[in-house]
Amino acid sequence: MYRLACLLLMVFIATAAIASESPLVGKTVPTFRLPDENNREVDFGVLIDRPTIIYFTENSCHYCTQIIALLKRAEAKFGRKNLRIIGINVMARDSRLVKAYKEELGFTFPMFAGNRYDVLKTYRINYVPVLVFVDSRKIVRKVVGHYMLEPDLHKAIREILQR
Amino acid sequence: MLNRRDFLKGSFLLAGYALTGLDGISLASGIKDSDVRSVTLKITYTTEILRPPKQKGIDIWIPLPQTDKEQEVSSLVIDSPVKYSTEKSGQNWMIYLRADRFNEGDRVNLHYTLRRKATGIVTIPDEIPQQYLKPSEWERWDSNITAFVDRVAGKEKNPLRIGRLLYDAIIDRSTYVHEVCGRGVSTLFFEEKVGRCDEFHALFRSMMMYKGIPVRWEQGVALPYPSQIKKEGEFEADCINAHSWVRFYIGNGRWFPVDVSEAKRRPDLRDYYFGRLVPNRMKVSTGRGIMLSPKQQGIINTFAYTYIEAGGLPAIYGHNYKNTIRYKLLDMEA
Repeated sequence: MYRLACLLLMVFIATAAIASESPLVGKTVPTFRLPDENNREVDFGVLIDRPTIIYFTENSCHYCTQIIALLKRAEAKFGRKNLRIIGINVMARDSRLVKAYKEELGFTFPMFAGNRYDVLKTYRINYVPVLVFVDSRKIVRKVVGHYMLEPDLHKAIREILQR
Repeated sequence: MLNRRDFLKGSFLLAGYALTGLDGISLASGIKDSDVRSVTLKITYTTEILRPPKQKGIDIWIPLPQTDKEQEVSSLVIDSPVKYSTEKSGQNWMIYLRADRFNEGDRVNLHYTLRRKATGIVTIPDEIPQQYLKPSEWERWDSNITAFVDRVAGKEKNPLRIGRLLYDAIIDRSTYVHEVCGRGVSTLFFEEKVGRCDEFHALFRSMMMYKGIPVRWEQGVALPYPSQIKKEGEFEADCINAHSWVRFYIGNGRWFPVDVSEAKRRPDLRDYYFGRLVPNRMKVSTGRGIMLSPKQQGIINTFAYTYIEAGGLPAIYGHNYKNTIRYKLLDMEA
């Protein structure tokens, strides 16, 4: 019983540390010009015209692949007019990988090649998956650095929709 | 040499295991992980095509674990739907397959017996230590890291004492997170202080190299702890179950092992993991920024499990393919 209590406490502390310590929270979302799947350099900030999830992913991450199904369902539930989803592939250095990734997974959201140190350093991406929740005023409200269950994802979306 | 107590403990353990014969029941009771000298497993490593990639021209590289001073690999049998070759690049061995297309459900199976030992310092007399002073692109250090190392290690010159100071400092300032795929970038981990094995060991390696101490990166797959292992088990060989550790050079051909992230996860083994490794792992490759044979198109951070390219682009794990390790426990020496 004591060990179980310790384990639960450690999980709580770790989760709290991960969830609460992003210095991005409360600040204007940083944006960059990155290549899309057609090799066009796009400032993805122009796409943040509504509550947005910026989703950092890569090809070798199974949890990341699973989250994409949740994101598709979330867009269907909350509506494309109300919620923007942007993908950034941290393995991709050019458009080819982004294009292939989108085609393979039916990833219909805009996606960019994000394997660039300044991007990763700014967003503090040391691992994936990472989801950055941004409200309609372009303020980062939450950063989640692990797999999300669907109810938690929906709760986080509702929070950015309400602001 | 086993003492009587260890012999009896091991005998009772295995007798109990043989009597119960219950699949899925942990053998945990009574086993102390630091007392286990070796674990022998019959392993089947499978790479399965789930959805064939849309791009034509599929290349598959599967790491092939080797016998060395830490483990023995024997009775290797490979079955594959297409012709394969055994390749070597640098220190790393692999199976390579190529076809225009693979079909859904195609599987490559590697069957072998692994005897993984509890290891400490190993001597590798022929190696040039200086080759392990070169950081990969993910292990470069900045002025924040060097200032930290200078503060922690001071004017200490002894590699073992420097290693212990930095080992403790990283453990004390960092949080471990398991269910993510790490990128192992030293500077980001130093700032974020949250990561898993690759982050912990990238930073340790950067700090030690800054002090002029060569460090080898050893890459493998995590196996269950002896106290948790079952008669039979199955898990995925993916970025979640990949595991890394390092060895640093202490002179006269001797390499000293540390597992900083496991020491973080298991405070009871904090002293043990500075100089010893529990046999809860299988080594499959060495180094980072891996070049395969034949050469791949993409950039490989570490080579812990199967890597597939379709049309020269990395396939998607969990969508195009997955890897599974099935094991049967054959022996445990305490």
